[in-house]
Amino acid sequence: MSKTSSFSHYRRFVFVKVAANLRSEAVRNYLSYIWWFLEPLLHMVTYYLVFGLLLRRGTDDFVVFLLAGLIPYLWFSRTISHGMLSIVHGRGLMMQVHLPKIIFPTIVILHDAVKQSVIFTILLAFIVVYGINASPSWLAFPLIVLAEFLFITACCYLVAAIIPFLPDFNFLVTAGLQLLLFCSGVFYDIEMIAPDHRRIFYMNPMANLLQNYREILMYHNWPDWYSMAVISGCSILVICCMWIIIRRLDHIYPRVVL
Amino acid sequence: MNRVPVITVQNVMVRFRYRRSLFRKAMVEALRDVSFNLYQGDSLGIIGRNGAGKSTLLSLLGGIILPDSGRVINNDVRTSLLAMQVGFDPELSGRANALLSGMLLGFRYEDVKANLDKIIAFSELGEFIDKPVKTYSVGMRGRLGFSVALEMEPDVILIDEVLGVGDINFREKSMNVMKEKLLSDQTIVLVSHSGQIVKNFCNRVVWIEDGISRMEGNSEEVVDAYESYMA
Repeated sequence: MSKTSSFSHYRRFVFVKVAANLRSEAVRNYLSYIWWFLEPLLHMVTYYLVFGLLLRRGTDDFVVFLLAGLIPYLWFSRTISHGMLSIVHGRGLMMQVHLPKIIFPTIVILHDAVKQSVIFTILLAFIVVYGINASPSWLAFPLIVLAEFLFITACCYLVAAIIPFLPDFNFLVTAGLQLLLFCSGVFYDIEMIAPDHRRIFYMNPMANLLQNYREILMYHNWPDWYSMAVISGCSILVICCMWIIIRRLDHIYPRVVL
Repeated sequence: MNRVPVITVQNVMVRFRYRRSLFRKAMVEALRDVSFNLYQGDSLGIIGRNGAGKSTLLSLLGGIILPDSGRVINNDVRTSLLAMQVGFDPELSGRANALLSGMLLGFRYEDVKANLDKIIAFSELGEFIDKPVKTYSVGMRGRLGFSVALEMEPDVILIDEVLGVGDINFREKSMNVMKEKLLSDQTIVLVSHSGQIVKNFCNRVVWIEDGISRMEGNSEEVVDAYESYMA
């Protein structure tokens, strides 16, 4: 039998594991895969009922405005909170066989990305049903999703790498996610912020991403290419650094997660 | 028998640091000075009382941790640590776990898949193989892990006192397979505090006392010395 320990082997392992995880998660419920659609749909309908029909709050498009910000934000916060303890939770496996520890957060990131792709599809359908027509600017949607994916990956690697050494960091990350929810303009329009402060507001990559989601989906504008490129570029840089750092710590993690 | 060492352990020292509070750290020396060779086809016993550093030694042999000083030279062999009840994802089915474990031992997806039926048959799990591992009893988990390691045949199997896995029938069956492996070219490292088990299964034994390798040699000799020391 041939053996291999190369990159492509571990990549294969990650895909098999992600597929197995998705499957086992789905078959736990009677409606299995249907929940992938049903859960986000129920979520969106709830927001529609509360903000669209009951409160009639803000602008006419407030429900779409809210969802176009909330859904990308939830992807971020979900992946970070699932991924931050991934290396710590991998202790059973890493005490049995040597493997690159970057695998643990990667599995979580891909798992959530697959589920998110369904959620995004439903979001687009919801927006169309709500009465906003698709426009050519929607073509930029996959690019913004990609930028956010890179940003999520970079952040997830970072927190997953730190928490085994500093378990207390866990609480800070949770608090940080809460703060980010309110600082990224999920619930309010950037117009509501004083013009002098907008520059600082946009330094937050999440706020920037959410604004761009809204620009292309609701206002039919092309995204801010420059900031998207900066976010993607910096994320790729962080991902490469974390890849190297975690690789160097591969033999250290089994000692600290004991 | 070919006498090229597959793994050489040279004057290895391992200490664990652990935090007691924000600024206070404590240190434990798990291994202080251990040296021995593991040869192809060997069935090497590692014997010593609880806390002597045996499990740390297995992690070193498995390439999971690196020593703080000294060297572990691995001549390109794939090792698998067979410790029970860890490594499995409790949410996944036994089948998925067997497949993933096989891949982690370094085997290609296709090869593990081709061997899956043999693994499942050996484990005697029957229809449980498609149920999540969290529904398994301890013995069943042990059987699954044992079956993967035995059927996939990594170069070196590291065993942490698991000969008591499963019920009497399965124990007998695995004992027989183990004995078969010993006669074949499979390299095995078995950790135990029981002289009897080591005597039964191993041709060579290393005795670890207080983080130091006290004695290395054929099993009768070393186990007798260990037992008279303990008595």
